[in-house]
Amino acid sequence: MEGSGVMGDARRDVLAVIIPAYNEAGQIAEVIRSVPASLEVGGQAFRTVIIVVEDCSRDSTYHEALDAGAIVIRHFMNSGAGAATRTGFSYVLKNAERLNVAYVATIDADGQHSSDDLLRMLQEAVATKADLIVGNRLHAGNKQDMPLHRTLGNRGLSLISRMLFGITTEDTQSGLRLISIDALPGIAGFTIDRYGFCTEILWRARQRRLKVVEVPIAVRYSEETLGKGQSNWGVFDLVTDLVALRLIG
Amino acid sequence: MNKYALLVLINSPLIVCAVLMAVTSYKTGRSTRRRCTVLVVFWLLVGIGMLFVEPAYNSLVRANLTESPPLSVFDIILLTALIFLMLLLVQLYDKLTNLSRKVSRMHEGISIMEESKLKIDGSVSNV
Repeated sequence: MEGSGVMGDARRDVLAVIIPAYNEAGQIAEVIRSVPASLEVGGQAFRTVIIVVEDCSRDSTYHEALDAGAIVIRHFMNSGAGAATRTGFSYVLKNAERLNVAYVATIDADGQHSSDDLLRMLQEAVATKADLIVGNRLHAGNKQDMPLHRTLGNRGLSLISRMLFGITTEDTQSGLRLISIDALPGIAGFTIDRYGFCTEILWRARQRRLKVVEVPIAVRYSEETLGKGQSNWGVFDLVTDLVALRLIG
Repeated sequence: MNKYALLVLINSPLIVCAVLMAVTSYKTGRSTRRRCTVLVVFWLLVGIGMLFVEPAYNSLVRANLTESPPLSVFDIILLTALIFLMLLLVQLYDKLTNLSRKVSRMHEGISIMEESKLKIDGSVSNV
């Protein structure tokens, strides 16, 4: 597939930022406000439109996201991070023309990502004309910031993804990624509703021979962030989803 | 009648049916090519395995690797029931997967529609 070639296309100047959120009251507003209203790359300004997919939270995530000025899509039953991201992708695809979307980014709702990295990923996407940019948290610079069990878990899952699907991306489970609007239809049809979708997105990109680039990103873990994330059973679920995907598609 | 021949005779229609179901499911867009391939290979292996049950049993007995009695009518019934159950299981799994995808798509559509409705009502003006 050809690169997006967004530079020079003045009509497409929006970066849609999708934030799947579940029980993120107290964090979500800050995450929304941390995304700048526009990002300038090589003389072209990209406006940002923030789309929060609230996955049937039990707290006030929905109202906090609305008050912070995001477009909020509300799931009426809890469906998982993958399903929430897919809803966000569907919304963007349905409204791409109206909103003039050039790129779509996904970021985690727990505040572990920085908007500086979003800018760097956008710069990389424009410079390399890559279809998919993945934020890599597993580089040497993050050794101090990422707890050992997280590092080992993420590396283990990346290894499993490599063995099952031949994906060479170092951090397959990163929530920070950026996709060109031209590449989105080929990726948005993933089937896994839970965390395995991160690997499935990369697999679909590989099947369609899309250009995938990794960019090192910072990571900020708070006590709250560390309390969330994958439980051991969640990891088991993730692996079974991936094995089933590999075997029976 | 040779019991092994009876086993093949009774089960081959089930296996042909399973292969046809897998191909039909793919051709009508209810399943992926990969899934169709996996199922066809699986059922063909079951069929081929059944054809070679007798020579396999005989060679195992000759090599003194088994002392199990030869195939009985009860074994034939048991194997047929097992294959029939596998066929049902695969069909149920397919139906469940398709249903789950349909619900997921419906959920997605309704959620997006609700968001648009909010905007039309004027309750939210965030675009």
